[in-house]
Amino acid sequence: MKVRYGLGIAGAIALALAVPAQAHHSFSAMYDSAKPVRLVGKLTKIEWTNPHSYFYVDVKGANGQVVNWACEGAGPGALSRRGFKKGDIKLGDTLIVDGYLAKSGAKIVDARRVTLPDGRIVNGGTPGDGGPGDPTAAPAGKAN
Amino acid sequence: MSLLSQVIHALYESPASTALRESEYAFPVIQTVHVLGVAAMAGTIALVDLNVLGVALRRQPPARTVADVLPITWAGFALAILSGAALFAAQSEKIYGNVFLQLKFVLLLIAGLNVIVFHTTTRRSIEGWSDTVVPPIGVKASAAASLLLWALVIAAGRYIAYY
Repeated sequence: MKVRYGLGIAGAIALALAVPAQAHHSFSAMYDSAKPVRLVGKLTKIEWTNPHSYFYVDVKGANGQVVNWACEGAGPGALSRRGFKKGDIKLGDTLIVDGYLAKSGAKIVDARRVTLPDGRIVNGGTPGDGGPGDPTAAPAGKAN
Repeated sequence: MSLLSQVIHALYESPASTALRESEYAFPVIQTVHVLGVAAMAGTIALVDLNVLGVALRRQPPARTVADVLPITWAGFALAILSGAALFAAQSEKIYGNVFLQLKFVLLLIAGLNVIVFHTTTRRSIEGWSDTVVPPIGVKASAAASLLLWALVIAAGRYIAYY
């Protein structure tokens, strides 16, 4: 019971702080399927993590300004089964990421399709998240 | 940086948290253990609640049901709390601002208090009940609250993924 109290109190403290954070979520909770985007950029950071992976790329915009984008993909297990291992990319590599913009306007995309440095194309999407191209999604007509 | 965010950061960056977070198999396996623990704990608690409410196990008094299932409840609790702590540690820095996670902690606190009330007051009087004596209304209310609270804890937990 003490442990449960401790967690409850920690939760209450966290509630008081109300810190925004990225979390595990469905596609439509965060991304806009009407806003596809292609990012081409240099890899600056890898987070090979559950339940979603993140990698970060520096993308040079039309005005020459470099912006760091977060790209979200499936967890390590799902990516690995698709043949995408952590060791396949290293910092400084150029990646092509086809994904969807966040509804919030934040510099984060849902990486549905990732072109690796060796030319391989992998599906980066989270299985079962209901996003475009998700094989388990219901044919809603919206998805392509 | 607040003290809480410093503690969370240290927890998130610890070797065990990092290994679990980056694992291919351990993470979903521990998620599975968490579901099994919750099933054992909430399932057996629901049996006691339904017995007190006169809905299930009508041929045996609640005191006997409690005695029968309590070890399973505790085993489920142990599995759920250990796996839950591991899953939280692995994702802590990215997840502690999640409204549903915070709601789940608050609901766990309330459900836990209800459990303590049950075992410190209700359970003592429960021994005297027989199938001819209807449990007091306060006890029935506590059982109904227990069913609702644990359902809400599970719902809030599931909704962490849909924040």
